[in-house]
Amino acid sequence: MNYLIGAFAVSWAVYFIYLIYMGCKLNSLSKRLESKYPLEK
Amino acid sequence: MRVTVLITSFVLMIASGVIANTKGAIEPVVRNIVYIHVPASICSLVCFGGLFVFSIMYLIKKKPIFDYLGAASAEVAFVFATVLNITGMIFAKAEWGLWWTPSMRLITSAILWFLAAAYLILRSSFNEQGNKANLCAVFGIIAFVDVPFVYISARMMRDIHRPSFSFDSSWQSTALGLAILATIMLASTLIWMRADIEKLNEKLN
Amino acid sequence: MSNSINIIKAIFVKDLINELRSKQTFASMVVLSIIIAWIFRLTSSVIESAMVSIAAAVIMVSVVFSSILCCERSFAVEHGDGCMDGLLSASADRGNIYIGKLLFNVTMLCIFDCVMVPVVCVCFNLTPAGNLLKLIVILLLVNIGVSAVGTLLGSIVMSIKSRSSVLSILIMALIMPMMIPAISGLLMVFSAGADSGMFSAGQSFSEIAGMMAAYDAIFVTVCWLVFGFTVG
Repeated sequence: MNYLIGAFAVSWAVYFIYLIYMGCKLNSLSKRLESKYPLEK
Repeated sequence: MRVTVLITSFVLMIASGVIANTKGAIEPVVRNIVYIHVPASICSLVCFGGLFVFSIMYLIKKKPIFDYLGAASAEVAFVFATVLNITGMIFAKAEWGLWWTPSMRLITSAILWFLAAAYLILRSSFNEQGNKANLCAVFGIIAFVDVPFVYISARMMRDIHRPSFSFDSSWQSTALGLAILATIMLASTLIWMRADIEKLNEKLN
Repeated sequence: MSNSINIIKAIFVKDLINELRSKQTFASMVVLSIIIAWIFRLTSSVIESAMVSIAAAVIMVSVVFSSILCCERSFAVEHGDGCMDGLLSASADRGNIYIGKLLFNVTMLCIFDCVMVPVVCVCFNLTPAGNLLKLIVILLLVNIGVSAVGTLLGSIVMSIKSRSSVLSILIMALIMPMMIPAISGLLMVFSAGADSGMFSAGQSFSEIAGMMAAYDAIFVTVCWLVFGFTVG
């Protein structure tokens, strides 16, 4: 049972960490892009 | 759009988990790992297939978006191969007491992991000049051609430990199907996000 | 068609003459295999029953590492002085260059095997008793497979700084599925049909050779088709 919980925890941790890392990277890159080429409204 | 897909995928995972817990539990308990292991395996194959398709499209059409999508597929395939390996090793430890043994499934997951890692290493080792996209696309094509041989040759190993999974009730196959669907949606979102990161990176440089 | 054959022959003969003059790569291949055989022999002297497996391992390791040296060299020599441009202008069909280099690498590995395998057999007290034809078939198929992949990867890593380390990682990942039947076949040859350890005792030699031949055929074809994009 412990193995099962451990497996689920590890795999969900991997998925979520990757997802959150990419979300933050996307955010920071969009902010940099916007500051470099500001949208003209 | 991406957030909607992600939330749907999350809901499907929870549904699959609930069904698996209540109606579709497999005895002994540790075999429930299959609800994470099989979707990860199918997703990593799908990502390799995506790598193949995007590499071919890049070599034919030469549009940079296919290059970004190819690199994204390789990285997501690496993530899923990691999960596949870890769950496979945990399952092996629970069933047979060893972390790793040259058995069919463990070898295929290890080789898939190495293939994805090799693509990522190749991609990151280019200096500024050189046609990175072309070369990575070529390697992506060959890596995918290698995948069927991985499966065929792993069959030649003796001691096929892994019992073949037969479904006792249709609840289990439903739960598994939901899990696979959810993971494929997760994979496509991850590839999309990663390709966007590549595109923004290229625009900034 | 005859033009293609001429170009392939020209590239093959050029590389062969180059190598015969300097003998650099071949020397380093042989030295590497001697080091490997020496180290493994020393460590395996403790376990007498494992000699066959360790000898098969030594042969495989030597072939793989030597092919990395050979394939890296085959395109590294074209890197400077505009040699690559000369090659590209010689033929409109890029596949001819690939076939020429592939033939050269296969020949080098075959010659290397002729030197290495007797040394290993003497070292580990093995006799491929009566299985000589099977041994030759396995080694030839391994050479073709490793060279097919290695030549293409050699051209891919031509423009990278840390060439050999990236090349070894790429080759290792791609030839893993071919190593399994190759080792199985070698164990079969050297242990003369006795229990071959972890590999399925029910494997017939023709299955093993068939799978390796399929691997070779498909990879030679695919690599030949995509080679043009790496030097484009």
